[in-house]
Amino acid sequence: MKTGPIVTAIVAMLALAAVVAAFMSNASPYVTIAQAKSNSGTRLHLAGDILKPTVNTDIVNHALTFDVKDKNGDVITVKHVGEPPTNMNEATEVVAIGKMEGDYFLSEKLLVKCPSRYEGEAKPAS
Amino acid sequence: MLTGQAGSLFVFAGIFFFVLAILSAVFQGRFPKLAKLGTPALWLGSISIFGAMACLMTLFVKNQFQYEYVFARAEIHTDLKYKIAGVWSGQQGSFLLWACCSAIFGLLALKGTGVYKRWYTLVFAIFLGSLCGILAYETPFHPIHEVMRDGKVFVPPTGQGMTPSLQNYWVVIHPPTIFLGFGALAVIFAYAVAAMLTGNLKDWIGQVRSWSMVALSLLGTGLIMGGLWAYETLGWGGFWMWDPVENTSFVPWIFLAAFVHGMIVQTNKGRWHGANLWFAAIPFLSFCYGTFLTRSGFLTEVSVHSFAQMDKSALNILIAFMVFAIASFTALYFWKGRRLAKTADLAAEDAAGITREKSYSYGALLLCLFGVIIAIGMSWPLILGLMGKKAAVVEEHLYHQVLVWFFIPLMLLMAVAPFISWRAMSGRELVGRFLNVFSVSAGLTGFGLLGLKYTTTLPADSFVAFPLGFKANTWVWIAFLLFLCVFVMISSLWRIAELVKRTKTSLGGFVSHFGLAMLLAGLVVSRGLERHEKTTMRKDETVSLMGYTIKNEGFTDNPMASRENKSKFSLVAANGSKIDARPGMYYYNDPSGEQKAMVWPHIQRNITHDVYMAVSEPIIFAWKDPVWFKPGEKKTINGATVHYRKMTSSGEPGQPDAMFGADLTVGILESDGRITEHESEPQFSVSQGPQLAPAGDGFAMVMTRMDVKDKSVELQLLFNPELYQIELYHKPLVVLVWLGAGILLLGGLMTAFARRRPRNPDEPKLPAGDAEVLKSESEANERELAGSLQMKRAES
Repeated sequence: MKTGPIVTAIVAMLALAAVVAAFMSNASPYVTIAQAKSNSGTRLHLAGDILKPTVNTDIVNHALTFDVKDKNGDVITVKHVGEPPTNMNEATEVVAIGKMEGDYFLSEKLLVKCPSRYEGEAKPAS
Repeated sequence: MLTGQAGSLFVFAGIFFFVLAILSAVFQGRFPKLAKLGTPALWLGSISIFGAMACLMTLFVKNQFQYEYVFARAEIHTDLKYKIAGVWSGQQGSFLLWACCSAIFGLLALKGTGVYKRWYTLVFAIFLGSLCGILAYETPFHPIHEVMRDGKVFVPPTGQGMTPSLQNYWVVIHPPTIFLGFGALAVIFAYAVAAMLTGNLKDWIGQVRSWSMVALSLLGTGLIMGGLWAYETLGWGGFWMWDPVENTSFVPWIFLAAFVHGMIVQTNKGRWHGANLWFAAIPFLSFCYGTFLTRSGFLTEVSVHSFAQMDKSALNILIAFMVFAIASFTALYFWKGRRLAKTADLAAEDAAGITREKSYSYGALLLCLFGVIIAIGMSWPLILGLMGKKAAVVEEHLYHQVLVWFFIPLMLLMAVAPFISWRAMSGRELVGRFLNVFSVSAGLTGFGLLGLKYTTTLPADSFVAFPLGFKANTWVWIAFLLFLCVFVMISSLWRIAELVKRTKTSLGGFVSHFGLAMLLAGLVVSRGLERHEKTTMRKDETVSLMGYTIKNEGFTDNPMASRENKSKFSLVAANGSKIDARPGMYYYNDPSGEQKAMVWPHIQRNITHDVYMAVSEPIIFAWKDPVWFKPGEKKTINGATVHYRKMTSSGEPGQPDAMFGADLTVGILESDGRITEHESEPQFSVSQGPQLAPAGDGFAMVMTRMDVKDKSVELQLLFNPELYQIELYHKPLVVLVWLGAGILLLGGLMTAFARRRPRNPDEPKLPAGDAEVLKSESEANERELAGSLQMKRAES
């Protein structure tokens, strides 16, 4: 009977260790443009400033395209297919989640950071 | 300026009174006279917080835009309800709301604290005092500097207004609800500390029970409201994204659930005295940690949901309080709590086999693991940062992949728990008890799947990915998870049917389980069997998406700036049934004066599924900005090559009938790489302004300005007709989310009211006898339960 709790504790610790290992290997990395170009992952998080004058709707495939400048000063064109986030208009910084495709970054999902007066994405105080 | 100054004054008064309350609690051992001071000081401090809240609300309602906080969050014409919501739409206000809700529960619970009063007061005073300290730096009562002119105050006529996506009824009620829940957490924490300091680990459970149920219900309701707000407003088709802000509220709820079950074991078996101290403390401590994590700026690098960085001094107070609370609770536990718990715990009944206590302990363990994993997940960027590694985030799919392995045993436990009694039984006996319910659940799940197969168009060969590259068929996997939920629902229902004849005390718990399982079934099925497709359509085009033929029908008759304005789309299914989709869309002026669009999704709610349609604003500009061309110039912008040859003109220059034109060629890049050329001559009429000219299929050219002197023109390429980005989701059984949420809340309230204990400590309390009653009641239930099962077996 006395071994029960010890076995349980060991199983619980092993489970936690497995979870941490899964987080280690599968968490989606934040990358710079230079790193994105050499990373074959499909859930890369590319963060940077939107270069406003470059925001356009691609006339060929109607994707939203814009240039993003990362903190190293590199610039890359991001293509986003689908409805842009509701507050895309207000965005100054974006996180594009996706992968490299050719010489541009194909974004599956866009997260936008708005000027500080909105304090984070559209999320109430909670 | 008076109201604002009063607000600041209230905050400082709060600090003063709470310090007084702390002194009274600490030194009343040496100076007994001080004991009388504690309660009034706590009251006055709390009233100061309410005063500060009242001041801030007044500033909003009275349009005092000379305050930074008000200016950034309200407009003169904003509806009253959104002005009030503005109070908590920012960082400072949400701290004030937290303080306010904590003070409300602090006072409500104060009366019934009895022997714990001194230390309860101490904990509460330290906590509320720290919040006042934070508010002193992170103040919402800060006037804008520029408003002082010649020593006089200038009130701006209006403010910048709240971001449109927050102007939603959920935002009016969601934050107060969830913060009331957070406020009640402080009561539970204060009791746990007081229990250790007084050395009485028994009685507090009875006193804190209804508060913990209230906290669990409020937090749960608040969490669900947040999810519904996201679903209805944000347009990404889901309820829950596992972002740090959401997790900060969810982790306390999980530990609170463990506490609620731990209390049952302590009441019935006289055990778990030590564990319950932790279960009571962790919800509060984890919320403080989450607040620190999301407001500290540690996540700003990696999260878009983080709040703006706090004032440095305010953050230091938050960190100091959090570290002090965690460290002193831990120290107190190992110094006193552990020893006290050992003496208080009754010996475990040495019984081989399955008992209810064992099932509770596995359940609590699984809940704790669940909470710890989410806490690790949300802290992952911070953990990697501390290890000096590159940032990475744990995303929705990874949470699901990992948490499901804890979800499965947890659900199985919830399903069989109603059949387990306090006395030991063999596994065989247990299986015999739940076999009927198991079979019924499997059958019902089968029926449910048949129905889903009929209404859901998800391909039969879809797969879900697992860690290590494993895959499973989506239908099989979701069917299994759905079965777990149905199993819990049926076994809870069966138990409810048993209990409803006899006793109402534990009824609420099983109603909650039933509601929770239904909610989870809704979340699992609506996300797991979701179909999602997107496309771009021209306004005049008919597109086919997910079996629907979609057409645009313009806008509703409202002005384009009206919040009531909507786009009109018709979706016709293959069987001819039609949906009139009305996704919201209006234009507003942002603070810089630029016109911007606000959109929100259309949700077609059916009993079997929701059709969720998110539509972008109409996309008009192929070139975002106009570009100047000199005669003969050729430029390629966004795939379109324009060669401007010369300026043409007609009519008398200087007269109203004068027209100027730009003779040009537009080369459009096609999807196959060819370039098709089109002649175009956009015109500019002196009297009527620019005139659109067709420039190939789907495009138009406009001359926005010109310079007659050097014949240069400013051109812009437009999509004509305009484009829409459309995302369509088919989400089965979303109705279960709503129903389950309602039942869960009902169950929580039933428990909170059914278990209300006498509040007055002078009234005779019967902890031991009470427990006996409960115990004999549940034993009687079990006897009847076993009897009825035998009868059923005999019948069959």
